[in-house]
This record gives sequence, structure tokens and C-alpha cells, in this order.
Amino acid sequence: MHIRGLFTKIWAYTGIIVVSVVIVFLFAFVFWKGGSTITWEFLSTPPAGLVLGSEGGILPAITGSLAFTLTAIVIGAVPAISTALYLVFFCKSRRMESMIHLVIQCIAGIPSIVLGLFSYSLFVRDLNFGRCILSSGIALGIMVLPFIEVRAEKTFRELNPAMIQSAYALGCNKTHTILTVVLPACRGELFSGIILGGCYAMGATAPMIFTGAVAFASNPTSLFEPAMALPLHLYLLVAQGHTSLDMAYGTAFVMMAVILISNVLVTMYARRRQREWKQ
Amino acid sequence: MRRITNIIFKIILCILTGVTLAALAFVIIFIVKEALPTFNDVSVHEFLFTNEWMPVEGIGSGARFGIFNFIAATVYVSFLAMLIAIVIGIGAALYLSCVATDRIRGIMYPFVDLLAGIPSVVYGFIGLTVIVRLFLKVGVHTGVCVLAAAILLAIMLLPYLISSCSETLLKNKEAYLRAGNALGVDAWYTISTVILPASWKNILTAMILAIGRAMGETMAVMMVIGNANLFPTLLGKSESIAAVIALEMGTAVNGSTHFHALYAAGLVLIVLLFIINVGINMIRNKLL
Amino acid sequence: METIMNTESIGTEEYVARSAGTEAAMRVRELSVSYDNKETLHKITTEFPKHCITSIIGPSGCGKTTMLLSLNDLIREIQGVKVEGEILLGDKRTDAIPQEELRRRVGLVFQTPMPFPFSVYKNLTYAPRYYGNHNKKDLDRIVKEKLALVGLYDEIKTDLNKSALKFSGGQQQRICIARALTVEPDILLLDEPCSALDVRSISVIEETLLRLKSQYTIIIVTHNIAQARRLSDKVIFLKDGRLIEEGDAAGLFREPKEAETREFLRGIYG
Repeated sequence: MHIRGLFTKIWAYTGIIVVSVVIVFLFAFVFWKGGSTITWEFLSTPPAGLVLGSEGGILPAITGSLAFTLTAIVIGAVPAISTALYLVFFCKSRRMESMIHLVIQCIAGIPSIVLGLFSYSLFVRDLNFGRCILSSGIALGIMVLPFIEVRAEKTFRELNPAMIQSAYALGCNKTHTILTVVLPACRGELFSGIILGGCYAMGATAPMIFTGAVAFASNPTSLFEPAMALPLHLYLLVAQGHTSLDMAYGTAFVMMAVILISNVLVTMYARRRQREWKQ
Repeated sequence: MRRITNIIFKIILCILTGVTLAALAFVIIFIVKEALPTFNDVSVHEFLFTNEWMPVEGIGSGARFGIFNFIAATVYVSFLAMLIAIVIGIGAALYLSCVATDRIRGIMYPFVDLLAGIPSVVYGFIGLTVIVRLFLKVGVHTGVCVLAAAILLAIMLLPYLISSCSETLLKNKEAYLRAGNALGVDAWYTISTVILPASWKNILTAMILAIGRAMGETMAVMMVIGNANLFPTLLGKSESIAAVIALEMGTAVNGSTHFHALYAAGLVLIVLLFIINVGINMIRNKLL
Repeated sequence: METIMNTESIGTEEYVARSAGTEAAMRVRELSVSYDNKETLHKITTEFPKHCITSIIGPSGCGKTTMLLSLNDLIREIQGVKVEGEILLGDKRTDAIPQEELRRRVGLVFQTPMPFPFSVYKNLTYAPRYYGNHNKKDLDRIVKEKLALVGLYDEIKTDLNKSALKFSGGQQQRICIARALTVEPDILLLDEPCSALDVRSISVIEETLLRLKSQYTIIIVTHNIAQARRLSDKVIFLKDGRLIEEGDAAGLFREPKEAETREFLRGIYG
């Protein structure tokens, strides 16, 4: 075998082995270290202890994260999918298209901490929302918007144009075609884009540090109050040092489990749709 | 009736797109507006190219705002991470595109995507408990350092690099591998001499996207880089722009130069990203 | 609109003489199409006789598909396209007909079979439902009738609720033809409908088309000269966006008038 070929072959195998080991290690490490902390009590009680979080559980952080994530998805997904639909099916001008793309790319390039900064100044300070779920949700929503838009647009463009034109050729207007052919055909991908976007929002700490996530709060009841969040809770536990390390592993366990489960569900759902409806 | 629903739908879509566009444009303008007052007190040159950062006036000395070290750290750690990630990532992508069967690919893609889902705080946490401890054992003072941050960041970049690289490689493999086989050339030789070179252009694009993620990453880097205003060295502490913002925002007095300077630092981060984007694009168009 | 009611004779003299008496279902006059200022069709003037199969042939890139897409206005979905000239359906300009109606009356089947990702039944009732037909009995009848028309009903009548994408390529293509027929078009456009299919499916589809001829006007783009010969009543030869020659199939294939046509036909036959 030629030396260059051999080198490439070794490169390929080394690469995939390193990646696999890293992934397995990350999950195994957290699950192994955090497994013993996970009890029903841990999941169902608020944090307690002299140094907050060194005892008790993480229930308000779980419900808080859920609230942040849902707000972000609602704020991010609807405009993202509308923009993608507009770009693919309605936008006739190339200049308009590239302008929208430019703005989306700019936003995708803004570091999440700067989005947090933005939301803090505008919503918390200028508009007097105070630190609350909504302020964070908007920052997170802006953060996931490009993420979902890019995926949705890609899905729409990859749809066989003949399928869409077949509907046009039958005389159906765009709205009908989109609602009855495009969206159902892309349901799996859109769903996975939204769920993965949700995971992304759930795990992001930077945008919510100043805007709505706090060290301690009870379960959220309205969009206009601050709440706890899993990633910030983890960060604070780590910052406290060794006293809360077990709790930190437990919190990481919960987040990793959520990521793992959502990914598996999304993949399985997409597979099933693929099997049932595609060639 | 159908026509009316069509028109209504189209109008709703246009309004939503317009609002999205306006809101996103507003974010950008807002950041610029908040950043500009900094330069009433500090010259652009001083801000960018000096390295003293003393946001609060001390006794006998005025406040200083120089972010050169932070810029250097951000660029340093991002490119280092990129280098590590690209070496491993292209290897893995080569395997996925040229060795793996469809079945294995179907399992491995979602598996690799898991990495993208892990929250950055968890990365930072694992970085602290594993990588930093490892460095400590090897003898690095306190364990936190630029290299630790780069390794962590490299892992975070992997899923983005792997998915886009293997997509390109797969396309090129389908186009060229059979022609290579038909000439009786070893498959790996074709892969290394035809398929990989043909993919460089798109691999560079993937690198642009990844570098964006790397430079904006806050929490994971902040937790392991040490956060000291020093010029970055491989095993020394340093502090990235994003980390400065995250650490000091809570204490910055609203409306003070410090406050605006943090915005300006954010703006510098965005501009830096933009420059790197354009730069890599130019290299790509020139070389390939 | 009114000015075009009087049809002038178009095309080569011989052709007009031969086809006299056959009414044209569709007419094209001075049709030019350009994408981003690059002209793909240049001043095409021709007509498509009723209840006949007209083939459009020519080397790839000659504008065959563009021509087809112009006929039911799908061309306008493409960015940067400019269309000049006029197209008449019956005696009405197509741009005076509401787009929806035009597309209903001029059906189109694509190169690759492209059923919607639903069941066969839903595919076939998709358009009738859109036009407001929700009568279950009526829909059942349409499904049965149209599938029978493409010779598919007996083959798949037990599988009507299976995903249309689960069938073979040939069956999928016939499902698509049946779907195009569910809206009762006057004209059926087919864009290389057989190029993605195997020989057996091709002959089944060709039989289907010959059967459909009595009820519909068929216009087919094909790169397969033998197929054009087997199917067509009229042939149009395009090259580089220009109409080089047209005429009834037997005549054109036996003794092409233009040197370019001769060359093209000879090239294909080897």
C-alpha cells in the first residue's frame, strides 16, 4: 500500500476511536459519578443546607430550566420557521434573500454572552422587566433562532422540488402546498431541529446569568419572575468548591440524561417516519 | 376563499419575517450603540492595544481599559482548539464517510451529535474535575491553563466539524472513488490524493463556523482558563473576552465606562469573528 | 386578449397543410424565456393538436423542460426568470387565466416519480379535496377510475392505504400520472417520464399514454428517439433554444428537412 494511503487510513481509524472514547467517557464519567446522588428526594426537593445546595435537591432548577427552554423555543422557533418558509417559497428577490441570510449569520455569530448583555440592558434595565424568565427567554430565543432557521431552511431546500411542483401543477396554491405537503413531509426534521434547539437553550448559561437565572428561587409560576436553572446551579455548586461536589455531579447527571434521552427520541422518531414514508 | 387564505398566510409570513429581521438588526444596532460611549474616555488604539485592565479607579491611578491580552487569549485558545479539533475531526470524518457502512453511519451520526448537546457548563465541570486535575498531577501550577481550555473547546467543536466534513467527503467519495477503483488504484490512495484535497474548500467553511463557536464560548473556557489578565502561553493562565464580560457584568455600574467597555469588548469579539470569516473566505477563494 | 382570437397559420407550410383539420389544444407564439438574462428559449412558435401526442425532442440543454414548464406557468416559481411572448390555451391567453385554473387544466408529470409522502389514496384525493370535494363516495370513485385508467387499479387495489413511496418506480410514476388526472385536465405534460424507469415499466407507461390519448392532449419531453417514434403524432425538434423543425412524426423521422435534425437523428442512431 502506498505510504500516503496508509497514513490516511491510520488517521481515519485514530480519529474515530478518539472521538468515540471521548463521547463514551463523558457520559460514563458523569453517570458513574452522579448516579449515586440521584434519588427521588434529589429530584423532588428544593436545595437546602448551610451552604446553599450542599443538601437537598434540585427540583426548582429542573422546573426553571423547563420554563426557560419552553419560552426560548416559543420565541425562537416560530420566527425561525416562518423566515425559512418565506425564504424558500416566497422570496423572489436574490438581494432580499442574501440580506436575510446576512442578518441571520450575524446573529449566529454573536457570542451568547453578548446576547445576554443585550437582553440585560434592554429588558432588565431599560424596559424594567427585571430579572425574569421572559428576559432570559428572549435572549435564548434569539440564540436558537439561527440554529432552527438554518436547519429548517436546509430541510425545505432538500425537499425534492418536483414534489412541491407536483402540488403546484395540480393547481394548489402555495399556502395549501406548504400546509399539506411541505410541513408534513418535513415534520421529523423540524421536530428534531426544535428539540435540539431546546437542548441548546437549556444548556446555555451565559445568556441567563444576568437576565433571569438566580441562585435560589421556588418553582416558577409566571414569566415575570426569576427562576433557577440547571446549568447555573451546576456552575454555582462548582464555584462553591468541594462541599457540593456530589450535588454537582448529580446536576450534571440530570442534564446529560435529558440530552441523551431527547437525542435518542428525536433520532428514533425521524427513523420511524423515514421507514414508514420514504423509499 | 382559498385565495384569501393564501394571501393572509403570505402576509402573516411576511410580517413575521419582517419582525424577525427588524429585531435581529435591532440587536446588532443596540450592541453598537451601547459600545460606542467607551471611546469617549478611551481611545480605540488604547482600548485594543494596551493590556492594563483596571475597570475601577484605584487610589492614585485612574481606570484603565486595555483588552489586548483578552483578545490575544481569545484568538490563541480558539485557534489552538481548532487545530486539535480539525486533526481529530477530519480523521473521524474520513472514517465515517469512507469506511463506515450506511448502517454504522446511521448510528454514529446521532452519537457524535450528542457532543453538541452537552451544556458548556458540564464541559467546564468535567474539564475542572478531569483535565485540570490531570495537569496538576503532571506538574502544571494550579492546573488551570490555556491548553486545558483549548482541549475542552476542541471537544466541543468536534461535532460541528465532523458532520460538515463527512458530508463533503461523502459527496466526493461518491463522485470519485469508483473512478479510482476502475483504475485499479488502492482506495485509501484515492481517498488521500483525490477525495480529501477535493474537500478542502468545504472543510475551510466548516472551520469558519467552528471558530465562531469557539470564540463566543463562555462558560467552559471561563471555568478552566484561570481568568488572569496575562498574555496567553500554552500552560499559563489567561482570560478570554467572553469570560471578562461574564465575570464583570454583575459588578459593572450601570452606565459607567466599565459597563460600556464590556459592550465594546463584545463588539470587538463580533468584529474579530467577522474579520476571521472574511480572512478565511479570502484564503479559500485564493488558494482553491 | 381579443386580438389573438383569429389564429394565423404558423409553422412550416407543409406542416400546416398536413395537420389541417386538427384543432390545436394549445398554441405558443414568439415564446422567449431567459434565466438571469441568459436566453434559454428564443421566439418559439408552434401548436399542440388536440387528442394527439406531441413529442419535444432535442439535445440536452436545448430548452425542452423550460418549454414544458412555461406551458403551465410553473416557470415563474424559478428565481430570475423572464418570459416573453404568448401562450394560448384553447383561445385564451394563459396569463389571462387564473394560475390555479391554468395549472388544473394543464397537468404535469415529472421525470422522477414524485408521489407525496402519503398513502396512495391520499395522493389521489389530494387535489380533489383541495377543490372542495369531500364526498367519500365520490373520492373513492375518482381513485378507482383514475387508477384503472393508468392500468394500476387491479395491481394495487388492496394497498391503497400504503405509502405511495413504497411502490416500484414504474408504479409510482403511474400513480403520479393518475394523480395528475384527478383534476380532469385538458392537457397532460410529461417531462421525460420514463428516464428513471426500467424497460418493462417504460412499455407499460407508453401503453398507458396511448390509451389516454383519446381523452387528453399529451405533450411529452423525451430524449429517447425510439420512444418519440413509438408514441408521437407530432414532433418538435429544439436545439439551443430554437425551434429547428416540427411536423408529423412519420414524416419528420422518415425525411427530416433540416440538416441539424438529420444530424441529431443520425447521431442518436449511431
